[in-house]
Amino acid sequence: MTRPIWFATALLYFATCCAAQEVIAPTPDKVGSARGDNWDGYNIINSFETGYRFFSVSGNQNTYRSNENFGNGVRLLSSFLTVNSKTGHGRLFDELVLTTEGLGGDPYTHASLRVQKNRIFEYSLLWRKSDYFNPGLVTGGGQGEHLLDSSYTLQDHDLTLFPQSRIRVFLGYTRDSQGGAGISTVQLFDPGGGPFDPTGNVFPVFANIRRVENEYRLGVELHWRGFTFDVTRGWQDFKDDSQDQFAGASHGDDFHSNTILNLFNRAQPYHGTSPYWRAALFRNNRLLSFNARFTYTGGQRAFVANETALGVNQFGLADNQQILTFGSARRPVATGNASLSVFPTEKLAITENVSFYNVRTDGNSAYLQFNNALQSTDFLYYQYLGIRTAATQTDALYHVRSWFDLHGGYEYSNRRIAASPQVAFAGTPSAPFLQTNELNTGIVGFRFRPLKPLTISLDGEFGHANRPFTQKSDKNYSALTGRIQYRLKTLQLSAWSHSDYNENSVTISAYSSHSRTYSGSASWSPRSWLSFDATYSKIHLDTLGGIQFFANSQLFPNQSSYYISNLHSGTLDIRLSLLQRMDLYLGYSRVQDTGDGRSVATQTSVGPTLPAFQSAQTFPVKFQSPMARLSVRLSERVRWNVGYQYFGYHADFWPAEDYLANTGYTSILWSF
Amino acid sequence: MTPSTAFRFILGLIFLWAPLAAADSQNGYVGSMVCKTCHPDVWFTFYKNAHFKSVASGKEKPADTGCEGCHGPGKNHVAAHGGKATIISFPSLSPKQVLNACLRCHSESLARANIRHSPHTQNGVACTQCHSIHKAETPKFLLAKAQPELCYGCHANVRADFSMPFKHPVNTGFMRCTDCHNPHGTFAPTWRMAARPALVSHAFGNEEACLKCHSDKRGPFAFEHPPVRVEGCEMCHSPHGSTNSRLLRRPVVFTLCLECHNGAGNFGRSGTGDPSLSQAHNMADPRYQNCTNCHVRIHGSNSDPLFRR
Repeated sequence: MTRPIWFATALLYFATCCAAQEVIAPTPDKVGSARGDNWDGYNIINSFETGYRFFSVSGNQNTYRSNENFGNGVRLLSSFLTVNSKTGHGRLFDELVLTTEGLGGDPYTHASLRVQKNRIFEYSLLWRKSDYFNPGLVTGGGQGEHLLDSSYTLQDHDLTLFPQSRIRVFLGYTRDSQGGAGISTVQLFDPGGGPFDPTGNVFPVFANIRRVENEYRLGVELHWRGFTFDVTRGWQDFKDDSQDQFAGASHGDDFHSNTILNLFNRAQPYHGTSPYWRAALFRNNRLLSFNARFTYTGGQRAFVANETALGVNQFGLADNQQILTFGSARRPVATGNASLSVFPTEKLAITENVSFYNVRTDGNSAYLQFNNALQSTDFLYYQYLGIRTAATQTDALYHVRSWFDLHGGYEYSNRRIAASPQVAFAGTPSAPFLQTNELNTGIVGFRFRPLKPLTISLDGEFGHANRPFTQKSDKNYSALTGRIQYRLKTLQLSAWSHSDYNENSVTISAYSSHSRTYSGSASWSPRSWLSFDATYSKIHLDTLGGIQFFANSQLFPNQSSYYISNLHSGTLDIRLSLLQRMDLYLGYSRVQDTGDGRSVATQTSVGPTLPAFQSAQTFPVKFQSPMARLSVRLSERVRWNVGYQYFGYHADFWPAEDYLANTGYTSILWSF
Repeated sequence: MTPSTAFRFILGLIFLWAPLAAADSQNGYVGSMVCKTCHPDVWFTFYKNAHFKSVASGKEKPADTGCEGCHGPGKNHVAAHGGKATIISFPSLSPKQVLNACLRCHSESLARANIRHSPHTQNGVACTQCHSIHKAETPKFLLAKAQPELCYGCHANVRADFSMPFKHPVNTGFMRCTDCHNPHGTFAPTWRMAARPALVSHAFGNEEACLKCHSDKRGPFAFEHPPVRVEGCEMCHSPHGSTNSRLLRRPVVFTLCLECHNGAGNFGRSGTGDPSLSQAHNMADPRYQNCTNCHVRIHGSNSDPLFRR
């Protein structure tokens, strides 16, 4: 009896300190004959899993919808169809693979189709739809006034003609659309200095989101004497026809303001195209590997914004405002990459990379903004931004012994940024401010295999930038990564450690960022019917940066922004096959940020004394998700499945965001 | 070199070459149908394998088709009644040998143009560690496990990222690791200066992979938020997952903004420091702690240099 107790105790221990993040449905277990059925020269495997999902949530439903969003209803949880020609000479095709997941209302739905006929064509389709809900948690405590309840739909079509010949033709189409409802905000701050609302009051408005991107691709690939030449021409069209509207009487979020918004309408269609060219030449063999790529993308967008507002201004008088702007923006991007790898001996590999990147954003030097309320016309001046980066990187890898590799490298990057905040007069752009940042980076590491199943590796990267663009950009940084892996038949153990330090001095204080990650994983399959997987990670982050701000009209200079996070994340999976008829899966996932250990949000002596700053220094949170799934084989072609997954979210200092959710499903998986 | 030395050298070469040539001539191609005799489990489902194309073609040389296309000539293997010593057995090959074997046919793809110096190759990750030719879990790409489990096998830290409350929907299957990463190596990214991050695929014009889906953030805008273009999305967001909404690096947005907008140093587009907040921004008032409530177009705007519309 001692052994079962020990075993149960061990399980409980793992369950409390480790975890497994897998989605509960669809059921991954197979059903039916793996060899399928033969019909007219084809072999067919077909299976469907259909069932009912259910959920109940207590607490903040919005957070649940933002994180998980699984609902009630009948679903086609998954389907799988393959049709293969047994001779490779099918009449219409030689292979067809169709898979779907989550059809019928799951928040994450996708389907893929692949059809091919040897030597003639390959076609693949990937269709995805995601319900994206965000309740505006961005500011913590649910104070955010933005809400999104939209759907992303993405589809990718790729057709390759003559896939096994020396000349291949590629045709492609991608569509990416987002639509739905939202709540946004607007200020009636009058850029012309009018009296409507100069106080910065914020009014919520309803948003109708409509964004579509279409991309068309045409490419050719030629193979000749070991060289491959690939050229692609593409057109990416984008349009955003979202509108913001409001009708009613809103006082905004400033309770001291007299301003009232009664009617608001804003349309700002934004259409454009980004035609691009991509050309590449490469050769890949044992002694020499060479590739070069060049891309040019000419991005252009035209826009109009028409905004009308009616209401009561800060003096209690009826007021209205219409703002109309229009213009166009351009952003051509040219990039080039060249890489040469030589392998003079079996032991040595030397690679040289050269990269070039040039982008500039510009447009008309100025465009018009009409303000009907003031009968005024303003010029809005473009902010020119140009970035040119050139980089070279040399790497060497030396196989000292079959069990020991050394590698090292050096990278030099030079980035010039040209920016013009605004032009002095229309048509006479001011000389842009130029700044150049040089980055020197050294890379060194080794890989050591003292035993065949054991691999130990260590990599380090050390860099210095002489003019970082922001306070948080890399300046004096170091990144160290160590890994130990042990693989022996049914057992796999690994440990990984990574540290990333960056020090970036500024005049009001020194910005520093220290990130350390430790993770370990174990995977063990002692029997064909039993397996364990466990992972644990600790992610530490502390940053200290200089800030200054105003509060109650008083300047707080030389303050510091401090943030600390100590995240523990673990997963545990146990899979059992019982009596060759039942498959049981138990999983547990837990994420916990212990912050800096404080129990009260403002319990700190570091940083500004304002409570908002103190409580922003850390964000203790717990998120756990145990789950269980049982799959029973009823016959050779039918399985019955049932699963349960619990989600518990608790933010220590923002309990209004907490939720507990019970979700589950039951389904039948069958093949025919 | 004297004539006698040259003669001895040539003679030595002949002696050295002769047994090798003899051994090679003893071996030969027997065709996949012979392999079927002892390996029926592999052969009877091989028509579902992408490599069956070489068999169906009927035009390939013996060295490029069927079992012997990868495992080499099988005559000696047959004569010896099996055994790993008489055939190319992939588990016994070094990672580099596996790579060379696969690239005999699979080098002609732009997606693999950088494979020989990719971080995976440099760390001894062979093709067969991710691809299982005969026991694949996925018909497409013959992966040993489906994504993301395949990647999590080595990258447990990434698994932790995707276990966060807010994350890209990778575990649900909606997204895959390869939507953003190319495990076979990529061209060096230049949207950021340092070589990190590795293996990230590029969107148009060497831009970040994020823009492939988040096309509304791409612009161009009349007023760009410079760090978005200069440093990239990771400046403010954790792309895999986060404990914070919208994958932000901070739970409260104003701290994220203030860390740059403090007027310090010679940073920013004009080299005079990123503009600090004006006196109107009363940080003691919760209204001003929600920066994006007013600055709604923080990724870029066409109508307002301060991103308010």
